[in-house]
Amino acid sequence: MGDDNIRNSIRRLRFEHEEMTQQELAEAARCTRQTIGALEQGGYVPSLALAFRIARVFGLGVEEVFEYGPEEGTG
Amino acid sequence: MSFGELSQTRRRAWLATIIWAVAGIWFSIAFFSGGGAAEFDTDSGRHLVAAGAILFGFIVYWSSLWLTRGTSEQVLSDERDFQVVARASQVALVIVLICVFLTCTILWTVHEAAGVLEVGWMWFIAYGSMIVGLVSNAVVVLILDRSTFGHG
Repeated sequence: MGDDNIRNSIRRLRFEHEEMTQQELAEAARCTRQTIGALEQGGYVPSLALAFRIARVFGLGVEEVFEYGPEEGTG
Repeated sequence: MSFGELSQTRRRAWLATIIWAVAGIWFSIAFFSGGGAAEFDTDSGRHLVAAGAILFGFIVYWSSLWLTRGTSEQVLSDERDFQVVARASQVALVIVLICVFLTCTILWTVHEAAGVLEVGWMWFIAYGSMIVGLVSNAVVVLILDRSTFGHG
């Protein structure tokens, strides 16, 4: 599990959505601003439910916001 | 970043760290002043002061929970906070176990030759393990909340 690499495009998508603030996204996705910050820094992998809620805020599918790929040299 | 801008979890952890550190200092002064463990179990005055430290801690801590409760419309904590708090509890338990083990080992080593141990040390272990557990839990929450905990 530790070899998995999940990236996201939340920071870019926020700016593409009228420069939405972390707080606005957090409120819409029902999580805290700190969690959005941790997600953008790649320091936290969300639950499936939170991933769906964030994707829904942007009107996108989960795979358009989150990208999964094993790190090089694994698998 | 001001205190008010911190997440509820972080605010409560900071308050808990301060409150239980004060209670710990309070208890240490009550325990080690005026004879230490030797007379602690028979000195009702010092015993009362030591118990006051724990009472102070819980009253102020519960008050801080009420003061930081927020409103029902706000998202005050989420899945990441729950993970941080749960892991902090696990780590704090191990810290308490290690501290109790080390304290017992040191007491045994120091008092081995005498063959007796003042019963007051039992109170020290009882109060001490409680305070160490509560302080370490709050400190670990602060550390994990700052780290990249939850990745992968």
